[in-house]
Amino acid sequence: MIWLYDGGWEGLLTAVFHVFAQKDDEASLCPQRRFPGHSLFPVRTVEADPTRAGRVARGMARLSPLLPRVAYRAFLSERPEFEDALLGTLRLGFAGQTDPLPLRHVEPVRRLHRFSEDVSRELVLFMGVIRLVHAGGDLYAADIEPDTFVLPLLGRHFHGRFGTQRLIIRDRKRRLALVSTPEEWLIAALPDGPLPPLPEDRTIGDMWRAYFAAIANPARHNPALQRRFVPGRYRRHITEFQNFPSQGDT
Amino acid sequence: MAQDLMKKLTLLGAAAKFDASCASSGGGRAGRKGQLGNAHMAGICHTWAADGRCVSLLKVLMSNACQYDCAYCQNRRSADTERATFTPEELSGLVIEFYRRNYIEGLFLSSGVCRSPDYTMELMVRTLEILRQTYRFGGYIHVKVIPGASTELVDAVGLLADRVSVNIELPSRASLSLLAPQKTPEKIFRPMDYIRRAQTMNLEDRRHFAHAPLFAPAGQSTQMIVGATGDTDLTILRLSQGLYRKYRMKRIYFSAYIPVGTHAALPPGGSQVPLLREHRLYQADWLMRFYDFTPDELLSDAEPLLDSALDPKCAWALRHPEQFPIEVNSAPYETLLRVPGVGVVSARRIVAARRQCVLRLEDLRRLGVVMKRARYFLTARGAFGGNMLPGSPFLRDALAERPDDGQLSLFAPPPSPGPALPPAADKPAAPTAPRPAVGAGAGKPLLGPPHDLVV
Repeated sequence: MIWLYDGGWEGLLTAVFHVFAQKDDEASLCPQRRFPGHSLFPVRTVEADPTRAGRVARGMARLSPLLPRVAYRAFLSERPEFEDALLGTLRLGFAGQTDPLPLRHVEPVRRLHRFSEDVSRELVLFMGVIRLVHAGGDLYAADIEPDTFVLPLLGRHFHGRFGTQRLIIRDRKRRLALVSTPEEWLIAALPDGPLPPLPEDRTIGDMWRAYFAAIANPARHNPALQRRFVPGRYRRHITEFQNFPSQGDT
Repeated sequence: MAQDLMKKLTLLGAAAKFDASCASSGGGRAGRKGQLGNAHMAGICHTWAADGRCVSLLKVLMSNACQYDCAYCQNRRSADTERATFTPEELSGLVIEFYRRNYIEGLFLSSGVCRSPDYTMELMVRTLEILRQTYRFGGYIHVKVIPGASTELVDAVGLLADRVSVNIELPSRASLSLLAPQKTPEKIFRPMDYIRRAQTMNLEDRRHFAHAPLFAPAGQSTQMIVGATGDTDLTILRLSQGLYRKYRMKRIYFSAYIPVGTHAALPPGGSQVPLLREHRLYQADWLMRFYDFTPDELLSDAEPLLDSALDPKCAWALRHPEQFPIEVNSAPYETLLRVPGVGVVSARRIVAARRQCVLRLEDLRRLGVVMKRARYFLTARGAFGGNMLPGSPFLRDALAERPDDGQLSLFAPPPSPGPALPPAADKPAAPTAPRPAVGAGAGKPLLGPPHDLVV
């Protein structure tokens, strides 16, 4: 049976509830956006139900205190194999009533950890490389293009750190934005159409670029190592890696 | 005005690059209403410079004018270099503007000795006061204490900064008196000792008074230069162990000597920078802190230098074949840590997984064990995966790192030191990897008689 859910975390947990309640051993889960519209297998659509989702979340936490966090992060990775990895891990855990997470050598658990670690790695990277530009007053903005959906995890960090500023961080790939004010933070959808460019913030940006160019130790020059930490696909939105015609090649 | 500030920033940023310490970890501070910023316990890397090193803090000197004439330093009094000094207002404003844009975690502030140690420290204290009190800055601050500064100023800085450090510079009394005669051991160790005692008193105060201010909550660290003198690795590691124990150091940094001076006792300009030696020392330092090794296990008076072809743990394992192979399903955690290819993370994973099932050889790679090395030293359910035993005379060859290995190397052949960066063309013969991965490379350590220990 293919269980379709709305693509959200609560919808996912509700679908998991149904899979275990119906004892469906051949189940596979699929978010609606990925479903091709037809299948040889029977299909059921599941509506998100907070009560049932809550029961599953509490069941996972009883199995293993870290499981909800690892599962949520793996969910944010948006990998197509995620749902199978999650079901496999939960079956392992519920069958033996033990914590499945230490069994990293077993395939579904290994994948769940890997997807979760992909998200954690991008989260830590973006906590550092997001470059805000001053957009006037106490408003600062940034653009990012992450591989995984790290925006919800970034919210808590940026809201806690920049509580005296207002922030907008735009995820250009997913057309969503993290909006943070001193009172609260939330994720909002961006309007359709081309996104307006961010202001340039030249004075401080130039200072940072000059400092960055000055601090490298010529005796230890290592561009390949630098590329490993900051891959090319992220550099478009990072101030010190942006070429400015007036400064010549960086 | 902005041009002057830009010039000062590039000059004083470039002058600070020889200080290896850059971590923003060890101090957690929660954000508070009205406060700008917080501190993340594990630290955050904000970018990576062209030399591959992480940039977390704005690392600058308050001033590169210096009264001292230390032979190994590019900022020494007799060097012909442009001098500049930040005002506290300029520097604190710059820190805040960078922090607001998420360029940095905070500030790393060192300095040359401008007029006198106390005068310099007063400028630094004033900068920190503006940051903490006027701007209500909650980010990370690491301050270098100037050797010879008075206790009152060390105290003032400790109450404002997260981490405080004093550079020990050279591993022995003799080298210090030869190359940096104005930095006497007493000027270095008195503030180090004060910081340790102040931390102890502060802990006691906080037990009794809930709102007692924190003194250097991220502790203290230090740095020494490696390869400038004939001191052996054994001397350096014994000194490090002494510093960790006596002064409760959080970290000791080793900085490979880059020839800048013309002193007769120093390596001449153009000689090779000992990057590999620095890397091996960091590996040995990690073994002492996380793997429970002692310096005398890693080295001896007969062999006082770390092996350049093998990481120190491999070298130890080859000298002690009687300890191996060990069985992964039953060996205690501390014994697992001694296996080459098993690190802290994979040892913890092995211990957690084997509570639920018996592990086989093919499972170990999936737990993060580097089987290329580990297979010669362990068994799983009695099965052994190596093609020779731990005592075999050919094992060293199998484990030694080679420059032409497919394995990534940390070191491209270093160009001779000079101001201009080489063009950014790739060199396919020299791929790279981050620390602490093992790497091959040249860089023979300097040999010489051991000097007496400072500690």
